[in-house]
Amino acid sequence: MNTLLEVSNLKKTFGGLQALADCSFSVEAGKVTGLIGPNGSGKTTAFNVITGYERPDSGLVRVAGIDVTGASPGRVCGLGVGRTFQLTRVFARLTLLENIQVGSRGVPRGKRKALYSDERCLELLDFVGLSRMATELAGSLSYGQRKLVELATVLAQEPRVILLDEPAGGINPTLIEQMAERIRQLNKDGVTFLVVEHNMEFVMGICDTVAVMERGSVIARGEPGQVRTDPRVLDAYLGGALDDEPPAAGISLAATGTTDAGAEEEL
Amino acid sequence: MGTQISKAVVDGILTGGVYALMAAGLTLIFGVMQIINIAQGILVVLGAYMSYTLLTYLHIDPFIGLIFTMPLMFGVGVLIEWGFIRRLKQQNRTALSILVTFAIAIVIEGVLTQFFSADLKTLDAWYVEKSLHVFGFYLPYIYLLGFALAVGLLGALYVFLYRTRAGQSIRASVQNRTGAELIGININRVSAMTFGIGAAVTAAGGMVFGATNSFNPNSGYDLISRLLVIIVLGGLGSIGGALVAAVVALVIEDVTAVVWSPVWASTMFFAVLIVVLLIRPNGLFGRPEARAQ
Amino acid sequence: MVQPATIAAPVDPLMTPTLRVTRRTLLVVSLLATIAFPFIFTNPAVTSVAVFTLLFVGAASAWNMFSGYTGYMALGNAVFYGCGAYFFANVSNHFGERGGVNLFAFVPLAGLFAGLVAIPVGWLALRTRRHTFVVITIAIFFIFQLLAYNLTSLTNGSSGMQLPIPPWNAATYNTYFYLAALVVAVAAIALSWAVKRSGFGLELLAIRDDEDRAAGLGVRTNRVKLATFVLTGFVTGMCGAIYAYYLGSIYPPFAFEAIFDVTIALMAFLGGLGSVSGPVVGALIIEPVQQYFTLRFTGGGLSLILFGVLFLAVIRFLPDGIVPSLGGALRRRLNKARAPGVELGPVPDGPEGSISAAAPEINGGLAR
Repeated sequence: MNTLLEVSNLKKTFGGLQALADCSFSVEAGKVTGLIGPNGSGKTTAFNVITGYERPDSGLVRVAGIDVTGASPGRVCGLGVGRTFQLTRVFARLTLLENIQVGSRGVPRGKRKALYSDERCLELLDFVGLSRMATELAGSLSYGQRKLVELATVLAQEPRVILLDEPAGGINPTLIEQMAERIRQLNKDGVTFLVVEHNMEFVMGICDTVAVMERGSVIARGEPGQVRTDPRVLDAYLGGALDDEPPAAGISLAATGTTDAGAEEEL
Repeated sequence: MGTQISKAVVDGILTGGVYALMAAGLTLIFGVMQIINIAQGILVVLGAYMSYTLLTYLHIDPFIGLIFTMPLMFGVGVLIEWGFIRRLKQQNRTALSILVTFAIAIVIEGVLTQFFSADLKTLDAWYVEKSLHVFGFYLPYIYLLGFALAVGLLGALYVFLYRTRAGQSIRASVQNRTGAELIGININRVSAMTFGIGAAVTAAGGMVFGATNSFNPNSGYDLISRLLVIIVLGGLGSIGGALVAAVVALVIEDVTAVVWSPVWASTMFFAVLIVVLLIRPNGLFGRPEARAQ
Repeated sequence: MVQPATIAAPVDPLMTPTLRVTRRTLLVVSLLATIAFPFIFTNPAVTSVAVFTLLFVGAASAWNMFSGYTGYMALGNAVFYGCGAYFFANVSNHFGERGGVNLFAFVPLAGLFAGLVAIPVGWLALRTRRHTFVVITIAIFFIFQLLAYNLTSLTNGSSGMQLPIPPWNAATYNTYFYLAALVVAVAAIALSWAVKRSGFGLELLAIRDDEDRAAGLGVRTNRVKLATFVLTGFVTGMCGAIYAYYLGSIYPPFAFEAIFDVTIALMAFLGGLGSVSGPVVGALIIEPVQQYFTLRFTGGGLSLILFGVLFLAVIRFLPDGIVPSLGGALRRRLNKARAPGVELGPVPDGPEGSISAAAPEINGGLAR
């Protein structure tokens, strides 16, 4: 097993709020790993810590064995880690093509020449289906289109691992399927993924393995099918129903007899 | 030397208080509206000219004249906000506000030059010449009265901000503009009020400035450069910071004049900013801009 | 992954081959005309205004190269202007008792000096974020102005410095300065254009839109900003040097003049922030006007009032600037002519960079 990304015992507190409490998980190279959990469980904080936007209070972040804890986002990116954001970030006054080109500028000089060609960037735009809008300003795009541009910009750097923050959020079902399809395609080409997502259907559809966070730490790990019937996970989502998934037949909290703090009281 | 330094410190505190008042207005405007009012300097000069006019032509004592000049300046501030600032697009707002207020400052300077010419003027009242003999040195009355005025007005500002509804809405707007709008605060009115207050304090500051310095329309540049340094030193948006920064900077300047040389005193004033920013890039009490996620 | 074959980016209507050729010809023609100008219009009053205008073209372009592209509004460029001026004054007094064409050789040196000054100034100022940045540049400006008054060994303080006066006769005197200023102006424009086209320029524009994201993508934002800032200092310093030489004497309030900072910003705004030709257009319009005001309304505050009002009018009615507004209007016309209903935007490599207009263009009606 080749671990590409590894976080160990991350702790992060914001004022009175403990966002990460002994959070540990690893991402295997070549796989699509999902990171799920109820709102406020610390998923985005974990992303921010991994990619250098936040500094953890303690703990380790390693990319391909190299310690990047507390490194700047630029440095983490330089090690082949790409990332998209929940609230899409594009360069609004640049065209789509230019947005992608900025992505290709961020790589070390040696790689830059090859990646920076107009041709290659247009390819990437085409991959996300937006090549006919190459000269549009990114600021005039819809939310879903921006997501795609963001993805293409990250791809311009040929990252080893891409962290996607809610790729399926706020877009229509057709686009969601297209997004999933692209992720699958890229994964087949060898790109590793770590995906934060609330849309369970999406997660089940593309993830090889899933980690579940609750209140700042990982409470369960395993294959999607396994995890979704895991009682601890059901607990975490307060009542068992994982978003749009109906509870698995025959299982209710009363039957499992859980007594974890914060769980529903027995029926 | 010792008494000289002590006097310099006291002078610094007294003048610092007055600058603090004017800087407080400036930083408040920034806090609420995210704009930098470059015209603040010339508004002080305008205030000085107003007091001068009242004194020279109507023989109204400068302090009493404040009853007229402060509301008048408040009106000027509201007018500027309504006429120019409000129309600024959200994008690039701060940068544009600098240019716009600079332009307004230039216009006001031009108007003042037309009416009063470039001759140096000063406010002469009975207490300007007299001093209080205390602790072995002479403190001009005007400095003491000016300081008292500044403290009084700052106190009033504090009461206003922390004990009234209107002040509360101002503070809310500083902390979260959108949130404030969402709970029903009329941002336009708050902005106008804030700008008015920011201008009104320059009436008072201008009066004291005019009584302690000779001035002409060109004096605005020096003033605004100092005020800008003070608010950045204190941390943009922080009134408390402006107070501390004003006093500290003025004291250092006055002490430098005594200890080193008057020639380098002003340079030192600005140098303090550089030194502080090297250690604390956001000023003494500024909040670092969070890295956007 | 993808078939690369036939993906063609949509074409900007202002970039068709015919229009390209037209533009190039126009460029060459106007360059030749500009060079010929002082030989045709020999009235010294006219050429004098022309010299100042060219200097401002250079300074405004330089300002725009940093502030327009990155969005960091620097209001202290007079520092470089003044440093260039004083450096040139010192050096030319040292080496040339008589003025002459050879003294122009010191102009690039003055630029280098200003560029060197820009390194610590830029390093200090760029540690802060945008709002504070502006104030720092203003504060640094005042420090330098004070230094000019106080470092009498270098600057002679308020008595100012005299420069060698070249021995040219009155008829052709201005022409030499005109040509020197032209060289610097053209260099500034060319530099501005080259930066805009390059990947380096792209990084600057990305910084303008979302600096943190650019940094997160691996762009070396600090380096890029500082490098551009130094370039700006270099060009502005050269302008200052020629200015000092032309005036024949230099004093602190003229070398370090607060209104200078605001004027070049206004010129860039008027013409179009972030575009290459914008500052040029802005300078060509504003400087003659400013000269006229100073001549016509001396002494009183009228020139100030008019200048301020002009300023406000520009910001109010032309917030995007002339060039982007014209470019946009022209594009819309051409688009309608070609294919009604399909609107296209600009492509990356035009000198009239309206892609970086002060406000984002929202193209309506495009099929999504």
